[in-house]
Amino acid sequence: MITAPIDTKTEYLRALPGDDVRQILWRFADRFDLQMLVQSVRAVARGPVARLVAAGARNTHDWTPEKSSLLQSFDESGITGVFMEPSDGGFIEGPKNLALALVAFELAWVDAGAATGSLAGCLALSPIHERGTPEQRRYYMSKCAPPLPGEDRKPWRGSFALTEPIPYVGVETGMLGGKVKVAEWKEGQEPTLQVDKRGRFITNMGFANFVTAAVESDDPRIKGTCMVILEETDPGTFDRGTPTRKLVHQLSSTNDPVLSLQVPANRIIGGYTVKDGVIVPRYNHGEIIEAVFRRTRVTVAIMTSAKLLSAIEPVIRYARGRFRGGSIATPGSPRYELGLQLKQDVVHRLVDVWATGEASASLGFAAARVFDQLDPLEREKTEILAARGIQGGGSATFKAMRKVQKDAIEYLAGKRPDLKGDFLVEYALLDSVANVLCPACKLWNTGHGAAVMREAVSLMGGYGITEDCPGFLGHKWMDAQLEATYEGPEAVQRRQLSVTMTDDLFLAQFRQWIREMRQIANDRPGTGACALATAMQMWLWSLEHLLKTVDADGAKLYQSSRQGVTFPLADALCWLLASRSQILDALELEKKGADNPTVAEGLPGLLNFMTDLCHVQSAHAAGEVGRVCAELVFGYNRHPAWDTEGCASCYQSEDLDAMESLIPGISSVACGYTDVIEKDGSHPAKAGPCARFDNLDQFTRLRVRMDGCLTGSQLAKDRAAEALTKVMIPEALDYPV
Amino acid sequence: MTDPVSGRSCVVGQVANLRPIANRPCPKEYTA
Repeated sequence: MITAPIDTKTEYLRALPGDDVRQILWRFADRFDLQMLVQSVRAVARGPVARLVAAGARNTHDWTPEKSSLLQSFDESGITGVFMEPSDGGFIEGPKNLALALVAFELAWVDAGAATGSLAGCLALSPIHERGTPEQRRYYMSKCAPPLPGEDRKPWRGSFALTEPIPYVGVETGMLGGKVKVAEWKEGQEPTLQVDKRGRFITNMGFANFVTAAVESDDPRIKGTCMVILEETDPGTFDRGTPTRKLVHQLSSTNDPVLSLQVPANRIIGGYTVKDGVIVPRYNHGEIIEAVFRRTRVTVAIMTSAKLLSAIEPVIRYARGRFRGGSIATPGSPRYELGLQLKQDVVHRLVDVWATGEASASLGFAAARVFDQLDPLEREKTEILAARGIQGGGSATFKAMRKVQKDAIEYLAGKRPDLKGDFLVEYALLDSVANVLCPACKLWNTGHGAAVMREAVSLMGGYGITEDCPGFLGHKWMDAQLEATYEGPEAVQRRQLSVTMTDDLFLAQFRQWIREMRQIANDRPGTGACALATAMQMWLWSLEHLLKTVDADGAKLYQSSRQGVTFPLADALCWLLASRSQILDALELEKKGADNPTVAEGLPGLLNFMTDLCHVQSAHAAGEVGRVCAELVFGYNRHPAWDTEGCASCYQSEDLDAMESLIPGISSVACGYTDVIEKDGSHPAKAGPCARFDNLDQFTRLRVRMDGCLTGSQLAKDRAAEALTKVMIPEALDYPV
Repeated sequence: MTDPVSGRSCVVGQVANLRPIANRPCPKEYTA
């Protein structure tokens, strides 16, 4: 293969990154509880889960006893209890977003359906956890807590039913497939509600004991929408429905239930008040779902990252062993030892898969950590506002937070140092970042991840698309498509981003991040941080330009209905955020790696490799951002035509001939500078005179600069590819065991 | 659960039935 000249003293990646490396990269090196959790989940993933996949359990839509046995494994390994507070039967103190992300990562390393099944239980409890009354929380958490050793109790399982009007499959929080009305309301007593709900694509429905369902009022005595808890023993119909004929994630139970039940009004999540004879739920379904999904989407994003990183080892092993066993390759020969890795394309493409996997994991785990930081601040914020007499999500809260946001921008600008440590300001800063990171990782990790997963499958040849493929890569590719849809398909994430990424507070922090990347580029030029910083600058310039510019017909460019503008910009931002997270993680490894004896041993080679991956990824990000921004910035201007207006800036050949006597050589210079119209009106064969760049000089300068910033990125790719031919891998995959 | 290295009883493991991490002592804050 052709590679760049490499210093013989270069340290290469010795082995695939192990737990100690991941703990540093994803910041849980000081969390023993999380490290143990990872070990525990891994045993389930690579044991019972992997055995089920290998035995063909994915070949049926039905919830079989074999699949059901996973629930007990989840309980025994601590997976079920991760979500719960220690007082409710859990074992992790404090926020649990990173913990849940790690669970999702470990399970999805083998099978994302198993990850979905485990997380769906948390999803069912989330509305109760986030917004339930103390009684609701106590009751349902204790029911769902896994039994302690020696305790003879079957834990409850839950299902979350937002739905999706049949026959469409996709989350639409504005259109609920459920109605609620008053069935009976005796004077001075709790009202009884009649709830009718039809669900589609409802996870865990094959065995759920209760359902948290979103419904809207079908009765003037109930206001708006709410979420309500339905139990399987409630009077009425609790029909689990038929299994959804989904093509993927077959280790999770998914059904289309029909529910028609009578429940007491105290099952409304968060409780209710009665005002003028009308039941007013404390929270509408949208408020609850917002609180739930903004956290749980991160874990879905992490699933696809796990798949990409899990593909590395099987692909390397396949490529190296490709020619062994035949008569051509003799042991010791390059063809025998390296197999397909002799071909540059094979290792280059695997570098791309790996770089994407690292970037997406970095982004996903960064988002999980932000939510871990945000959770206590959010509670603090609610209490501070309540002390000021401001409660709920109404206009008073909005107004108060607008003021905080203004303060936070001034604080960032260094004008208000007195606000350092202010809870509300800290909350506002983190919240604006979380509002972007969550949809960004969900969108990019799963959507782009699915496309890159296809590359991984391709690298296994025909083997990739069989059930026998080591690492189940074909399954994982298909599964990734569902992850791109679960909990809000790509369009929903893009739409959310198109709003949150224009938030002033986020943009103020984004400007700081550009400066931060420049500094990193100065200190660590090999990371590709410079290309990234320029791409970030270009994205910001383009956003600001599009926010104030109109198209050729005078219509505003950046507006919610113009998704041709807002969505690509949202996509482009995701590339930047992922690359930034990856670079920051690599720096963390550089900083802390030497302190860990296991990591320190091969640290130089590992850092070289991780740095090269960052460079490769930042170049991809810059290229993508350049393409998207150039299309948007130039694409809405009308191309000049060969008419009077379009030719206004062209030279006439007659004029040039006349000037030739005064300025010798002008004719030839003019041809290179602009278009020339001949005497007979003929012109160069093209669409029209070349477009001019009025007011776009800054953009074109940035574009040229950014292209230049890609210098060295392919050398980094060559080095990373070379490392892939040398890295040690185990003799065999460690699953199924 | 007893930590294999330090011999201390690990709180996290007792509650969640988690597996010990080979060759890694259970930190003080997680022990009974």
